Amino acid sequence: MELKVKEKVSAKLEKIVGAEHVSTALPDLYGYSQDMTENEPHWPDFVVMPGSVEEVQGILRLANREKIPVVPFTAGANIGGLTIPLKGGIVLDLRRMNRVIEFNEEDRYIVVEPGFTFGDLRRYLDKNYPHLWYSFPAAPPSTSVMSNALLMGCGYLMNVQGGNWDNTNGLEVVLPTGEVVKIGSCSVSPYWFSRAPLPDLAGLFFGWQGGTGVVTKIAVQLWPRHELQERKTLITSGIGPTMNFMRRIGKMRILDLVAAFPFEPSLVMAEPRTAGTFDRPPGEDMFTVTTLIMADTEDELKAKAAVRDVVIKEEFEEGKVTVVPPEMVPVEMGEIPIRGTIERLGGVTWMGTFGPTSKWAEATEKAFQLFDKYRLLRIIAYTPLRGVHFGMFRPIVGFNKGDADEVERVKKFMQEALVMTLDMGFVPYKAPYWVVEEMMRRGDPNWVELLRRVKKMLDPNNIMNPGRYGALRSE
Amino acid sequence: MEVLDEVKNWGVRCAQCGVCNAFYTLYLPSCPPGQKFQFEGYFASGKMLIGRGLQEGALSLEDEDVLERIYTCTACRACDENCGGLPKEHIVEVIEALRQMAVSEGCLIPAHTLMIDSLRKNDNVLDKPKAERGAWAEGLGLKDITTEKADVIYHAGCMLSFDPEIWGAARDAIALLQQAGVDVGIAGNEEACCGGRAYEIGNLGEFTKYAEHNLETYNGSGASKVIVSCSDGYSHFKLLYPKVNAKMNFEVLHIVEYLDQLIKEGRIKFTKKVPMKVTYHDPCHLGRYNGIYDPPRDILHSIPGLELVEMERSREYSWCCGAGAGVKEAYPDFALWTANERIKEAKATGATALVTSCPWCERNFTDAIKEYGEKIEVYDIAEIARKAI
Repeated sequence: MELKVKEKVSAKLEKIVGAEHVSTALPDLYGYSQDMTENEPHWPDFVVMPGSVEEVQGILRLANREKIPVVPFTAGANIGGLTIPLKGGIVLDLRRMNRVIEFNEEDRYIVVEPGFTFGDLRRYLDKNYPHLWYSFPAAPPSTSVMSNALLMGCGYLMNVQGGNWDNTNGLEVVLPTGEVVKIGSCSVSPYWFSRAPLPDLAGLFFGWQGGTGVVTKIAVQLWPRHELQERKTLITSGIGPTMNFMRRIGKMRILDLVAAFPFEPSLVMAEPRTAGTFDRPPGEDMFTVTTLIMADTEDELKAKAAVRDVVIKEEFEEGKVTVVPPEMVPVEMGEIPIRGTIERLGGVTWMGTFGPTSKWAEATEKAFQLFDKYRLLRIIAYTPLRGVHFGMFRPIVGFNKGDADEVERVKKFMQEALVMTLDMGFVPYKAPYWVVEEMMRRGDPNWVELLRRVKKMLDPNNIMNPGRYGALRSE
Repeated sequence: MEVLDEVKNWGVRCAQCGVCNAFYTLYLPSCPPGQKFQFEGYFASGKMLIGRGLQEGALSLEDEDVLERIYTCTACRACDENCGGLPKEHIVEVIEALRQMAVSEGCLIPAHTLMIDSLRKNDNVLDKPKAERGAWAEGLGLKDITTEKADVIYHAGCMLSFDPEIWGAARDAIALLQQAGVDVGIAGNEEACCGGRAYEIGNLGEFTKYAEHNLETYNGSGASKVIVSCSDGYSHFKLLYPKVNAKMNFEVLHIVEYLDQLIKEGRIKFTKKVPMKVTYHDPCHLGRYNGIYDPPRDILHSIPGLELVEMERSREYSWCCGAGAGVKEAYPDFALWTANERIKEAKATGATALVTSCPWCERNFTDAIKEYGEKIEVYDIAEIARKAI
């Protein structure tokens, strides 16, 4: 952007939010130009921090007049490069908008602003409503409750409750053209109890990666916090038996969480790694499976545990499953949000997908080959959702961003992982722009056309996070 | 521009996950510049990225915005405490390295230039005449270690030496030591800065000079112990001096460690009631840097009539006072804002007094009270303890 134009726009932005909430300082812009992934950096021209809905409206109206891109941002930890401003413009850092708007204990929902984090929510519930809980994800406490839901994120209750987008009751959105809209029951009723029974306009904002407006409030559902918990961590052998166990036990919905990872990360993560390169020694395919039962009574806990143990016994041959003593489990599953990232190398990326769990085993075989080909540590997260109606299949890579060779291998891995997962019928979530491009290339043409029409309708000047769904980077 | 190894090795290791921004399990803000200024560059992750940007040539140390983000950090180590990704201390080590790089490139903050000039002229960072350094001890009848031997040396430090409003911390510390029968002496006007501030702002040369000087002086004195009331000074003696290639033939104790020891040995007896409700602020250099949390609390608990209530952000999760690492000199308004955040927290406990064990904390809290008008008293722990004898 030309300097004179930049100065003019900066002055206008300062008038809207105050000078202290606008930055064109290079060390700030640099920070927002990249994230932990391998996606290439792009610099914004401005970082702006609104403190109110009115300020967001003012910014979007200005952006529309001046045709300046706007990228909504809360923590930037989406592991998809989604807040990297592909076409420059304004990064709209929403962290100042961090209030609880409403807490409804009886009907168990909370309405929060974009900057309200999982740390904030955990603290709020622990202090004030210890009998209530949320489907917290394995994410740092600095990340946003709203963004997690909008990007189709999940939490530890996902096997029983589904994804966090399933469990939202409504939104307030500032449209790209500046109007404020309420979505869900709150548009007709004083209560944010559900998105039903109205036409579900929330679909215009979920999964769109900030491309259709700025969500300024979200109502999310809260769940009972069960006093009694039992975690059991298994080390299992064999892809088939492990996936069969996950699918069978998940369908029973007695486990609030069942999640699996290949076993190798448990071996190497005790000490911080300095390189992502990993040459796997030959050996059996083994997994770490974490199960979590929650209950309100001892009888309930015992009953669920008994069923779990029967299934473990039936699904695994003798010698193919070991129970890990609790004191040896390195990650405290009860402490969520989590501390840091799954890897400690600075670079984290994934080809996170949702897909049919019936294809888990086959996809795993192919993914393992890719990890080994590119000399990367096999990390895949598997969790079923909603009683195994579908599941998460998430190959994850930790890498040293300072190692050019490693970065190159990671990029190639990601390209091949995309093709593999799409060919298998899995669909990436929190998809980087180049993944979106491939999906739109492969996807139903009418679906693609509908994406374009919706995007054009809501964002006629394509200012909202351009380069993503409905308006590709190449367009 | 030479990029130091800490920046090269660790600058790329930050995943920008944001865990550094808040105390883990409390989920309360932990980073003063981040909390105040909010933009990414002010948080620990932003500074790690600055290191990356300098390596890439995308950022320059000649950019005042870069310098501001590097130097508005008090090096409180809250980020290191929170970070689950990098081994402990690496974040602050990177920030220290960035400052050393800035100094090497001649990119200096004017206020810090004044500090270094003052050091060179007067052996202190406060631009005060060296001849006045020992004035705080007038009338105490202390041994002069430049001419006599003493078993224990009390190193007052720059802030306590030259700030009459807080001389009480030093004078009361001495009174307590004398009551315990400790053979204590001071260097008086000949005392020199510990050099730690110079290190923290990136001037390794000046730090090394003072470290070597103090090691030679105190080694040569024959004293078995050097006691400090300043948490910064204590930490610099304990953690930075070993970086200098010289042996330390004396033990260094913070006054809270020594008083705690003397109380438990029965050499100090508290006989008077001190009916106050106080809260204790953990100085960063005593707490997070050196793990000293219990001795000051044990002291306070042993004072009859005193009620100690804790702030929620305490011990390793203590919010910084805002004065450290050259911030008070270069960004005084920000330093006061940071202190006021802590004062508000102290007041919320219902305490009528905020007690600490560092003169930099005490001075910054006192200044913030004057600036913002909150009603709470501020004491050094020695002043509170003195009331009980």
